[in-house]
Amino acid sequence: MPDRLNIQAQARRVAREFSSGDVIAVGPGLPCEVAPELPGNSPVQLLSDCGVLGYRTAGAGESADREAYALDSNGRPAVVQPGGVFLSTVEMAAMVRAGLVAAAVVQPGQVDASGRFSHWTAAAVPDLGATVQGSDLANGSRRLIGMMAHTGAGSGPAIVESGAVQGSGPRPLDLLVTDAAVIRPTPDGLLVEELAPGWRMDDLAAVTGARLSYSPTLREMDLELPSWAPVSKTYASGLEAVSDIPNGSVVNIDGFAGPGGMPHYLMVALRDQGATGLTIISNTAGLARVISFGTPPGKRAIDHSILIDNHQVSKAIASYPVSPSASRPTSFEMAFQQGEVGLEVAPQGTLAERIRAGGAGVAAFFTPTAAGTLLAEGKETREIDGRQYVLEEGLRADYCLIRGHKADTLGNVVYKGTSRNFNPIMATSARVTVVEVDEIVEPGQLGPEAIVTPGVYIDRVVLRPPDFSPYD
Amino acid sequence: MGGFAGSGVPEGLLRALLSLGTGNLTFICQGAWPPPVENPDVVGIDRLVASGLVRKMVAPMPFLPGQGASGQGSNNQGSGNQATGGQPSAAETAWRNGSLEIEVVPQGVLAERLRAGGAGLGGVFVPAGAVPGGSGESRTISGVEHDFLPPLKADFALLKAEAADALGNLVYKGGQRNWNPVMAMAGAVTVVEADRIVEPGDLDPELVITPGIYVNRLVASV
Repeated sequence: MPDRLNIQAQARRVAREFSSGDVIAVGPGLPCEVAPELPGNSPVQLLSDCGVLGYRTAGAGESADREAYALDSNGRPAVVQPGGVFLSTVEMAAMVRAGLVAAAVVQPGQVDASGRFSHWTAAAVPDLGATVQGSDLANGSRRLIGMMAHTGAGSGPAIVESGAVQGSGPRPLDLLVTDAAVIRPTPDGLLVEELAPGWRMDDLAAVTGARLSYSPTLREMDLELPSWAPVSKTYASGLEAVSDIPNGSVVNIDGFAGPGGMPHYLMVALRDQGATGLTIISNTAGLARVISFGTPPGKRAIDHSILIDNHQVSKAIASYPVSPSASRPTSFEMAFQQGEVGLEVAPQGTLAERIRAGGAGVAAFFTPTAAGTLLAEGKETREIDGRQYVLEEGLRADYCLIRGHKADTLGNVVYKGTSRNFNPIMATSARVTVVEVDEIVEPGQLGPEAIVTPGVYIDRVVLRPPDFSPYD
Repeated sequence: MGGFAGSGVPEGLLRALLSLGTGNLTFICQGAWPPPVENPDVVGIDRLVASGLVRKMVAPMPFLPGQGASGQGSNNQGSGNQATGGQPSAAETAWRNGSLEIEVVPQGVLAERLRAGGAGLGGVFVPAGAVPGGSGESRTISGVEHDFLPPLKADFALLKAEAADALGNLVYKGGQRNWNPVMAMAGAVTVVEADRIVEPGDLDPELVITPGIYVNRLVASV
C-alpha cells in the first residue's frame, strides 16, 4: 500500500480550496492542522471555535501572556494575526449563520456514499447522537470541506456505503480531502478527483467501504499552497464607493439626532450619485437638520434630508421620523404629508433588534415591545410565561453607509463615542457595506480587543476628507 | 458559566463552589474539558463532575471523547485529547455510568438561545438544520424552513474577566470574551471573577464589553 500523506501535506491540499479574503471556520480535530501551514500574514482568516478570527498557531515559546488567551478549536495556543479580532460566541455564531464563512473544515468520523457524515466527536460517542459544533458550521458555511484519515486506525473504512453514519450532519460535504484522495460527493455517489502521490485506483478501492467513481480528469494531488493576493478594501472617494447603488435600493444609514454617527460624506456622495426610489432604514429619517444638537449657530447639519429634498427617497423604515417641534418639520415629514414618501415605523429597540436579526441570520423573533398596541396590529402574537409577545421579522438592506472613526485596510472598524449607536448592527445587515472613517490604518494597528465591527462585514473603506464639513 | 477550554474560565469561583459542595447543579457551558496537559491543577467543571456535584450539563461539546472510548475516535490526530491520555474524562465517565445527564446543543444554537434570554426576547427563528432532528417547531419564512429556538436563562452566571471596575463594567482579554458576555446577560445573578478591580473611570468606555448593569457580584481572582 502506498504511503499516506502526512498531516501537513493534507492540510496544504485543504488550504488550496481557500481564496484571498475568505473566512474559514476550522472545527476541532484535524482541521486545526491547517493553521500551521498558512503563511504568517495570510489573507485567509481562520475562525476558531474559541472566538478568534484571524489567527495562526503559536510557535514554540510564543504561548506566554496574550497569546495564551487565544486558542484554536482544539484548545491549543494561537496568535492573533494583524487584522485579527476577538469575538464572543454570539458574534461568532451570528457570522456563521449569516453565511459569512466561505468554508468550514470539519473532521468527519464517517462519510457515506451521499457525502453525509458524522462529526468525529459524535462518531466517537454515538449514543450522544448529535453533531455538536459541526452542525452550526455545516449549516451556515457556504462550503463544507471534510478532512480526515482515509481509514480509522483498526476500525475499518471511514468511508462507507450507507447506514453506518450516526448523528448525520445536516447536509453533505462539498468536498472530502483524505490522506489518500480528494473526493467530491455527487448525486451519483463519490467521485474521486485526485489521488495522493503513488496511489492508484485499486489501492484506494481496497481501503474504501463505498463504491467510487473516477473523474475523467483524475490527477495527482497538488500539495503546494496557492499564492493569495493581499486584501485591501480601500476606495479612492465616496462617489466611487457608492457609484453602483441602483435605483430602488434599500439602504441602511445610521444617524442619531445630532451629527454623531452619521456618514455625512457618503450621504453627500449618494446625493451626487443620484439614485432614486430608495428605501432608507434609519433611526430618524433626518432630524439633525432641524434639531441639531451641537450644530454651531448659523450652520445646517447634513443628514438624510439632503436625499429627501433631492427626491431620491420613496420610503423610510425608522423609529423617530418626525421633528419634536411642530414649527420646524423635517424634510421627511413634509414629503410624507405630500404623499411623496412612505413610512414604516418601529420602536427604536425593535428596529435595532430587527436589523441585528437580519445580520445574524435570524429570520424573526418574539419581542414584548408594542404588544397590545397599534404597532402590533396584523402581527402574530404569542403568550410566553404569561406575557404577550409580538413576532417581528429581521431586516436586511442592499447597501449600508456607516460612519467609523478608524478602519484598517481589511475593513475592521472602531467607533468614537456615541457615533457607535446603530452603525455596528447596520454594518452586519446589508449585502454591501461602505464605511467612511477619519483615518485608515494598516492591519494590526487597531487592537484585536478594540475592534467593534470585524472587516468581514465591510466591503469598502473610504477616508472622509480632513477638510470635509458636516454642515452646509 | 463562561470559558472555552482554559480561556475565560472562572477557576476561583469553581474552586469556591467545589468547597461549598453545592450539588444537583445544571451547568450551561462549552463543556467539562479536562485541564491542559501543561497545567493539570486547573479546576474546571470536570472537577465538579468528578465530585458528583453536577446533575446535568447543557453544552455543545460536553467532553472530548477519550481515544480508547469507542474505537472510532482514534483517527483524530491532534484532537486536543492529550490531557486524558486516551482515557475517558470525568464527564465522559459520569455520563456513561448514568450519573450525569447531557443535553448537546450546537454552539451557535446555544449562543443564540442565551442571547435571546438575556435580551428579553421570547425566542427566535433560525434556518433549519442547525438543531439535529429539529427543534419541535418549524415554519417557512421567505421560502426557507426555519426552526424556533426558545430563550434560555440561568439562575446564576459565573464569569471570568481580565478587569472590572467597582460598578461591574467588564473588559476581557483575548479569547476570554467567548461565552462570558452572553452568560452575563442570561444569568439572574451574575458573579464575576476579575484579575484586576479598578475604580469607575479607569476602564476606557469604548472598550467595556459587558456593562455593569448585568453584573451583580464581583470578586478578585486569588
